[in-house]
Amino acid sequence: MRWMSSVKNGFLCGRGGALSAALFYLEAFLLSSMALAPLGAGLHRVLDGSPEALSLASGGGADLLGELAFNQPGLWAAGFGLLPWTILLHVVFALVLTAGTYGLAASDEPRHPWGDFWKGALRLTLPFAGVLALNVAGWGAVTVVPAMALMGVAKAVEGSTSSAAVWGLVAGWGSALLIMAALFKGSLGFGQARYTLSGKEEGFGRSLLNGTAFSLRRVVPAAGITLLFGAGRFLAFWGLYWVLAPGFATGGRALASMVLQQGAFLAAAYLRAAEIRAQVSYMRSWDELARRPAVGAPADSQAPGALQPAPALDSSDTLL
Amino acid sequence: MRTRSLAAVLGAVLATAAAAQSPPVLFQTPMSPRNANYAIDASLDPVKHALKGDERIRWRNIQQAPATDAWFHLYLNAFVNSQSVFMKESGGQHRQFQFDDKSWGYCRVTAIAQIVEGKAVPLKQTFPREDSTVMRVELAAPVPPGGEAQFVIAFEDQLPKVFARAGYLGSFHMMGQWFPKLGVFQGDRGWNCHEYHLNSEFFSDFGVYDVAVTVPKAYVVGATGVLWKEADKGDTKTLSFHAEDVHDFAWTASPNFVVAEETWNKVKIRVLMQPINRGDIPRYMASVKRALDDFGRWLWPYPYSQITVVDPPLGGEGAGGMEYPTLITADANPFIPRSVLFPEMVTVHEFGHQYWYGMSANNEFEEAWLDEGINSYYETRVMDEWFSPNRSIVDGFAGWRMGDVAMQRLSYIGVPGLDPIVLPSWKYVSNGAYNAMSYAKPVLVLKTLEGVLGRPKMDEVMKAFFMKAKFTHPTTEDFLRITSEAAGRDLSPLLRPMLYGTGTVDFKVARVTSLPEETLKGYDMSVSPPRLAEKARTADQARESKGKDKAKEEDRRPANRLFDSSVVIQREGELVVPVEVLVAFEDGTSKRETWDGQGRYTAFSYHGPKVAKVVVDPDGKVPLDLRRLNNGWVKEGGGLPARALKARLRTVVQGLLVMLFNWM
Ligand SMILES: [Zn+2]
Repeated sequence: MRWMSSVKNGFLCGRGGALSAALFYLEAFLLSSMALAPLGAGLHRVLDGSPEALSLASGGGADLLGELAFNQPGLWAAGFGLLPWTILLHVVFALVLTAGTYGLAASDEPRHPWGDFWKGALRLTLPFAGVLALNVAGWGAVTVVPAMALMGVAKAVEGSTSSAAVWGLVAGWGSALLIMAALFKGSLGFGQARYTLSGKEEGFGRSLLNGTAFSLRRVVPAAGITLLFGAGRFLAFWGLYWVLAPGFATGGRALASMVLQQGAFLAAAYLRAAEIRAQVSYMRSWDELARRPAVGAPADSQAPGALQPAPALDSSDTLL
Repeated sequence: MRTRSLAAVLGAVLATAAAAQSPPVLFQTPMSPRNANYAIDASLDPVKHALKGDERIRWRNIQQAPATDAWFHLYLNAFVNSQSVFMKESGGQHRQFQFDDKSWGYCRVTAIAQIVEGKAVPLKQTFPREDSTVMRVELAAPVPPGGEAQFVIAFEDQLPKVFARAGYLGSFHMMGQWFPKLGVFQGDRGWNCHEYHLNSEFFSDFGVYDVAVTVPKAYVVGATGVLWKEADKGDTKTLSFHAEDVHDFAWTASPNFVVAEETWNKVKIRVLMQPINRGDIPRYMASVKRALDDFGRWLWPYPYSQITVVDPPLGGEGAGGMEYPTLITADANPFIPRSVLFPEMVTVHEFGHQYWYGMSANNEFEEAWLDEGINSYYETRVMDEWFSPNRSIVDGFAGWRMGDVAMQRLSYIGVPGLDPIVLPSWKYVSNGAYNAMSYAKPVLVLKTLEGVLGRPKMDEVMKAFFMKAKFTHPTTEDFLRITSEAAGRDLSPLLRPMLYGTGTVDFKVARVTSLPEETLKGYDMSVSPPRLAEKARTADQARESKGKDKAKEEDRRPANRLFDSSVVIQREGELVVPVEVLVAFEDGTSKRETWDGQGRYTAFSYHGPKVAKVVVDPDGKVPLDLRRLNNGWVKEGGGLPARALKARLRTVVQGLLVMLFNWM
């Protein structure tokens, strides 16, 4: 099964993948630290002299947070002042790092991951910015559609008496949404992978169309890969907020829970790098570029005769 | 429109009265005046969500002045159209629920008569107030003090889709404020009968209710009082309920309820649950038992034989969180995490209303704090003792926690000084202010009173008030008088400004200084003959003059040095409240001071080790304190709260950034 070996290639990501994951993780860590430095300073200023503030340390003191909001209106505005800039900066960094990761994943010379990374970043960042525009639309869809879905579910379950019906509806709407999101995100990802692999021979727009066609032709494995990594990230975040975060509530475990949370973020970064590498690997395994099918070409390329062996990654690339 | 003739109504009412077996006697001795007694026959059309009813009221004038008219509430007319006071005040929104403007509702009196010497004399309806929720009739025969009037009424209800208390959703029907109901006659002041306002609840006299409801056979019915007769007729059934010493009657009907029943100390607890919330039945049961036990010990054993808890369906939450005599509506939701204790809190709160509203039946229109506020105070006590004070509302939701009192403070500190606690409920500047002043601030006032009196005295005082207030209509002035009597001191100076005023109180540490003790200069008179101090302390001076090295060594042993310290505590705001102050010293010892709160500040001086920490109100006995973060001073704060809070928020931001990666 090609998609499984591609996923395996993604996970066994070698030095290159480790580099990407580390960069993803560090960037978010440093930027979020920077973004909240002013807030930290402000909080120290207003809380350090107050013995009452101790309950805030253990997840309590909601009323004290209220006091801060009412009596220190400047605190939050100033404290979060850097946040918009951080997000803007992050979007730029994220583009560069993502481009570098795609470039690195497609590279045939994994011995120079650092150089490949920057080569990819230089070549791909600008075209990938186009994905950003699509993402804005996508984000719109992923906020508007669930909101509509939620309203739909609320309307549908109104007065409902059967648990099975309610959870059935929730599950139905939820999985429909998930599949939509996976298709959208998968199409973009395979478009990016295709453009990365095509060298300079195919325009970015064309690559996106071909990537979409590719993921629609192989809808089960393509959406499957996206969903698999999505599920991994969901587990990391679920664990982060529902299993690890409560450690904050018990003083002694606060540090341990923070360390574990960073572990979850690292895992999420690793999953992202692995997902990109799996996409590139899967795209490459079909070697479509070699035969250059037209957009919307018949799915005969899936016929067994058309199969070509997936190029194995260099052994040095699977160290990790 | 077809209107039944008066004769037909009278015939029907008298026929039921004659045919009826006698309902059971619940209380051998009446607990209340029982001056407003209702017998109602009603049948529900579950498809049209409409109801037809015949009603007979026996009302006794217990005031000193004669009554020449009678005023009735037709509460359902709050939903009749966009011109009702309720709709104008609400803009179609109650709590967080939205009115569905395709499903209006009403209560229409199709005939009303007074029985005078065995004859039904028709009465003319007028609507003297701003909307049709208040109906007035001129009496055919005035009722002298001690006299009695009997009314027969035929009425029709159309239920709105539920959004505020009463209404339907699918086959769920919540019948609250559903029948024409007398206001409260107050003698020379006339009838107390307000429109149905957005932020107001109700006010009525006690009595005996005999209500027979006809519903489809498959429906499960829950109601005020006890079920004593059930008769089937075709595919419908008629259930007869009887309640004594209550001032309202509510019922609910739905074919979908899952029924759970348990008995606790001879009280039947009946939970009518939505199937989807079946798993929460034990939470409701535990909440009611806990509240039965606590209220019974703190105030008076629950006198009624039954309590019914109704769980509204998904989307019908507007009916939830409401109190009626011996029937309450709660609020469970499969989408709310288990760590959020709203179902427990709401159930405990609504049960508590059996005492504060049900038995101590104040005018909810005009002094809502006497039921909502006092009841919320008891709610926080039950919840805090059941769970723990810092996690009695949210218990570990993603590592966050919140206590009930903290939740009340959160509500209060946003609007502390705009309106007073004692104010008619429609006169508040905002819904938030009504909630803060009717629920939250009274909790903080009573907690503060508890801090002043101590818990045992507080229990004694509140019990004394309840015992006097039960089955009457107590007022704020009654509260002040009775609690002062029980406390053995006049509580008015403390409480009156809190209840009638908008003043606040904020204690803060204004200044803390610790200076090394002065070396004596001038004559040392402790020796004879007096010597100049410089000479007496040569050794000290020599040591000090040795310079910086020596001084450093001294600093390393701070406990050995003596300081003259002063601590200044300041009181901002108009309220005068006594408070405790904890002063901790560097050698680990501490002192507890008390300040009666008089004046704007007080100062404490110490000679001894350096002051390390000062906390005003260390035990949180003055939760009314507007700002608690300025209540303390530490020489060296570890910075832990700021670090922890920042770490939490950083996790959120970092998580957001990591997620953004996935869409690049
Ligand atoms: Zn209440």
